[in-house]
Amino acid sequence: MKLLLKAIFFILLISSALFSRSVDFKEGKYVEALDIFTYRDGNVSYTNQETTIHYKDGKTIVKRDNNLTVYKRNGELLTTIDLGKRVDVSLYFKLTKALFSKDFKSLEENFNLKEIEDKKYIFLPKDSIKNVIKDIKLTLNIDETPKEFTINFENGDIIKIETK
Amino acid sequence: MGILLKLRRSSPFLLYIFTTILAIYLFSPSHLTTNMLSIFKSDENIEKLKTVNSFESASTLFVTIKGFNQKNREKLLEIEKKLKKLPYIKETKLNTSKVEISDYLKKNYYLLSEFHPISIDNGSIENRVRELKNGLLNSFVYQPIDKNDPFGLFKFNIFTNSKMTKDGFLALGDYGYLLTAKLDSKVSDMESSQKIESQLSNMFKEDKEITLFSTLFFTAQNSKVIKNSVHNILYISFTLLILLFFVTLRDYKVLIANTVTLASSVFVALAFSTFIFEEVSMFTLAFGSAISSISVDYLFHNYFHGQYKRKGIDSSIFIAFLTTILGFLFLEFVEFPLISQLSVFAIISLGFSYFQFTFIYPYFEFTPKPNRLNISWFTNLPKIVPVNAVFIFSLIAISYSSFNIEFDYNLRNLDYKNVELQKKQKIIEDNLPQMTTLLIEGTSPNELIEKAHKLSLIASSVNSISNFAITQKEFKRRYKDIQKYDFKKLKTLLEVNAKLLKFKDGYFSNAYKFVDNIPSRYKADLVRLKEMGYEVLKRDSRFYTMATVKKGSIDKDKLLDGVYIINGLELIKKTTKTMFDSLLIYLFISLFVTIFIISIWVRERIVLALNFILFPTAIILLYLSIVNINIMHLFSIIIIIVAGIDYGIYMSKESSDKNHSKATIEAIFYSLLTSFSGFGILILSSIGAIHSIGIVITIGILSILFLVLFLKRVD
Repeated sequence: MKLLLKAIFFILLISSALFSRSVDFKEGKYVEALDIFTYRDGNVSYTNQETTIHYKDGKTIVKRDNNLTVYKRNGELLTTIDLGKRVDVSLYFKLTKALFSKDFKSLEENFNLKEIEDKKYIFLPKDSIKNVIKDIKLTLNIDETPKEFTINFENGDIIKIETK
Repeated sequence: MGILLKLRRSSPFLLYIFTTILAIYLFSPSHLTTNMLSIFKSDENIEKLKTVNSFESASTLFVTIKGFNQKNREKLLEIEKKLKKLPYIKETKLNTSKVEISDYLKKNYYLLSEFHPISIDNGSIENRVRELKNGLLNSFVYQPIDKNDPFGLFKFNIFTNSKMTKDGFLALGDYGYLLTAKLDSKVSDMESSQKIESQLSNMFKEDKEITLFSTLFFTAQNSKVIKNSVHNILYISFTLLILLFFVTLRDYKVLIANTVTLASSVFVALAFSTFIFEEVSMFTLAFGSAISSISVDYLFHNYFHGQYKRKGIDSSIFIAFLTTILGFLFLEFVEFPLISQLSVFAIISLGFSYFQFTFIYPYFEFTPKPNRLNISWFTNLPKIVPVNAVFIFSLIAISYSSFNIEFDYNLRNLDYKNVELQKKQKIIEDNLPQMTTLLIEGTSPNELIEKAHKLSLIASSVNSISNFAITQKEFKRRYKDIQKYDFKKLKTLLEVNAKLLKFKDGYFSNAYKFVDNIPSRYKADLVRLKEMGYEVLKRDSRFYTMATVKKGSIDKDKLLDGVYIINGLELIKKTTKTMFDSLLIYLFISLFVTIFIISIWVRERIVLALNFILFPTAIILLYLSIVNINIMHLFSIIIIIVAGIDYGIYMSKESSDKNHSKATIEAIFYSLLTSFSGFGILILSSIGAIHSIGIVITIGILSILFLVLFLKRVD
């Protein structure tokens, strides 16, 4: 019985890895306005159609099609956002997804990419995004998976995401 | 005496040369136009269409690939890069997260925004600052503070068509991502349209997945196809004419003379028409040439009756010519530019041909060759059809058809059916939001903006200049509201509470500073607005702009004054209807006069002569009552009537002399063959307009031929 459960668990693990990617991360945020560092742990998983971010402190955010849905810890719906009306939020999601999945190509439209040293990259924004983001730094693991990335905002805020 | 005689002998030639030189001098090719609207009466409907057509707003190029996936996104991004390098691509849209904000918007941002003041008391401000702090620390996605307007008192939504995006990219409904580009070319500019179309089509022809469409492609591709088709038909037509004159008539001199006569008549008529009219439609040239070719019967009638040997003027031909000219004189008054142009063209061209066939040709003494094709088996067919029966049948058929005929107003049916492009158009049109186009008219740009704002109150889906421009009245109201509001107190309370809640010192020092810099005057910048896609146009001292609204969301009867729904088909239909009323009246007068003259000339044989007008018309109308009549059919009927008048007069003037009768039939036979080679052959074309002319002329020619061969003669 135990063996069977193990086998099922193993199959589930492999299939979920095949159809989607799931990454645990630690999100650090420096809020310049308050001169405060905050941290929270989470997990992001995405397929072609859907991105789900689950924070250990409670909230779950699901992005499907053009909508962003936020749930409370108990699964209660908190809010739904039409991303067509919130280009900033849409861009943030596109950005984090691209960085997690190492999909540099989709960032080319908005950023110039430079390799600063081995496994270390810097993204410099083009056009009007310059007004919001100063730069993004990305470091890869030996196996080429993202190790951490840091988004430096023009207003002094910093978001740093480390994968676990 | 000898000199005088010489001068008399050469005077027709001198007159010919003088007229041709005068025509060369008067010819104004720039007055020739392919603009379809130029053939319509210039009433308010057509004026509206002309206004819409003169907007410079460049045509849009649509590029899409079926399916929403990363591969397609990347492909479109690649295409966008390629397109941007082309000189005629003005602006591309694909990635909606990349928004270029123009200087006009930056300068007028706070004026164009909706101002939502909040109450300025310590309690509520404290709550709001607390909310800001909470947002910074606990929001589910990163939410920075707008340091200029931390409380979000000014709201301005640039993203009006939010439903057209998916994953931060422009989307074509549920079909796929959409890339749009503005093309720097007018739809009516044939040359640049063709250049752009061929370059773009070649660029993406390898990849069958990509759908590339612009209405401009219709102009470019169709004109190419039409040109080729016309060329092919011209070759066939010319071959047939050569065969006709060489193999059957075996008289190359007549062929050369006839070609020179027809060409010079068409040219002289065209030159004078371009001198008289500001705009001469290509259709005038086409139909005018067809009518001119009918004059070949003057030549054949003289030729087969040996008139060029005898000298003198054939009275039947003169009466036929006079009747036709009088008929056209009355049509001159029709309120239908194409018809009045056509009558001027026909009068000049027929007149000049008649002059040459009657006064110049006798000098060449053309006579039929004895070794020409013998068609006596043809002329000797039994004449069994009674004249009165044909007359009654024609009247019944005409009245039956006039009750059953329906008019096809859709000008697109006259164009080449470009199936491949129509398929692409369908993909784009079916998936784009269904919109109605509106034209807004006013005495000043400010009035246009005012009307656009009023319109947006009636229908919320309006996309117009009101998105990015405000009226002077609205500006004054907003300016006053902003000036009235105590921003100083608001900022003091903000900074006090920010300090208490541990915000960094001076973090809000720039908040609401912009209020001091809000311009005290506002002017809608028409150049910038045009760049953003909202063009204001000045035409005949009135101002115009376009707007779109969701289909069905606006009631036709509840429209404001000076706001019109633009539906090309409907507007043209309305105008065509009024033009037809006028055409019918004058056509009736014209026919009445024609019949009167013919009846005086042919007396008791009037029924026989009328049969040549009524029978072909009846057969053509019977056919048209099955397929619907269009504008091209109608003009072609006039051509057949012109021919019918001539043949009716010749046939009713036949004498009992068998040779005379044979000569008449031979003359009509060759005239009909010439007309068929020239214009009946158009039936082979797949292009609506050209095919329509061809089918009517072919049916008309066959009907006349039937009468010539089988109609009983009245003795």
